[in-house]
Amino acid sequence: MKPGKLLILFLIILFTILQCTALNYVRIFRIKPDILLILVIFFSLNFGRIYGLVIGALCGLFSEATCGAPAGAIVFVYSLGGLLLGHIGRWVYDQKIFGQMGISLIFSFVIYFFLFFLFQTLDANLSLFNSLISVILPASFYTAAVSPVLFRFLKTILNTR
Amino acid sequence: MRLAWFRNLKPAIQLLVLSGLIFVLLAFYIPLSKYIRPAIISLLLPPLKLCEGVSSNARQFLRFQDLAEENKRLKIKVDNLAGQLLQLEEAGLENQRLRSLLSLPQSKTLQTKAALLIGKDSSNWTMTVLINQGTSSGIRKGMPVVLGANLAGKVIEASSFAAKVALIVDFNSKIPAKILRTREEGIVFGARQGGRVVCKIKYIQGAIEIGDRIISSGLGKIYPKGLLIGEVIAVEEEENKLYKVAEIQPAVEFASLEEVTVITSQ
Repeated sequence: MKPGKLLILFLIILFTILQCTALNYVRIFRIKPDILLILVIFFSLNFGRIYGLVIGALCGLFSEATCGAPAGAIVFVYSLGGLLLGHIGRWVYDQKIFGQMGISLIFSFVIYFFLFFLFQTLDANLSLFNSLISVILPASFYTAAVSPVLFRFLKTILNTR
Repeated sequence: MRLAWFRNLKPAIQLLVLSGLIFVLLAFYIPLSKYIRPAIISLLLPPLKLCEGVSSNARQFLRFQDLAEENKRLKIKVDNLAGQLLQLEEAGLENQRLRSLLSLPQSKTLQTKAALLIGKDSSNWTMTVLINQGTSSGIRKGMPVVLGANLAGKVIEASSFAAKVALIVDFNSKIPAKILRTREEGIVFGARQGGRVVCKIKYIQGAIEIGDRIISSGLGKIYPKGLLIGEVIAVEEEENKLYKVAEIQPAVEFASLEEVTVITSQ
């Protein structure tokens, strides 16, 4: 069953609020899990590429509105990532090549890596080594570690298989 | 179906077409910063304020036992500061008299607006905070944000009742600065070092020492002159470079930041 639009909007708002408030208390080395990215992964895997694209764009918008990223950067990366994951993710998931955590880890890593290059292109003071050690790797692992719990929560809420 | 032609395309070409379309829309047509992002902040404002209220009350409740002791400490501090304030007032008046004798323009007093933090950055990359004052209180993009006499950041986006502040440790920040002891100028920027966020100063020449205080230079007219940015904690020695870099410990403790002051008029 496809989820309702209002429920999706409610989930995105809820996850954004949690991302800006409660998750600051579970930071490790100033890194918190990216639960908006988990939402994109969940919808891409379970409902396909169009949902991946739209939810990616919306989550990107909400994430950008509450952070200092250049306009359009996160929307672009999340929506494209959602589209791509919706396209190949279901197949990868069904083949049991990677579990939920594995897919979340690889997807987060790719998205964060792509964001790094986009920020770098837009004239940011970022070094690859420092970004890899202090943001890309820890954020990917932390997001992957949290993803099974949120997947279960979302499955219950949305009544998916 | 209208989209039949699109569905018949190969997946890779579909991806290419869609990514190009998204890019063009974002780059040229969708006014993200001007309308959409402020609208989203306005939508998130009531729940964010509610969360901040709950967490602030919880923090106060948990800290209740420390309050008596803190109160004692603060009373002693207030007495000390009252004495210092008197001396400063005296020095200020003397400064005014001397300025008028030398026919120099009088320094203007800053107009400020206090604001509470209602949310922190949603991403792991940037270092921004959301505050509960917006354009309706006179807050505009580009206004500097301080905590006491310490520089905290600047407003980068403002909606009616909230604004987004980029902290000085954000990787996009560039602040014209001065080494207080030597008066040498440099640029302060935000950086990540391992699991920490720090500020660094890039300067051309001269000696910098650990413990040197770095202040805003006032160049560029965004940040007022003389606000404390932080203290040098390490000097990076690299030969054959046109500039030198030193690491600064910011004067503001960003992890426990709860309220700030926006300078609305300089």
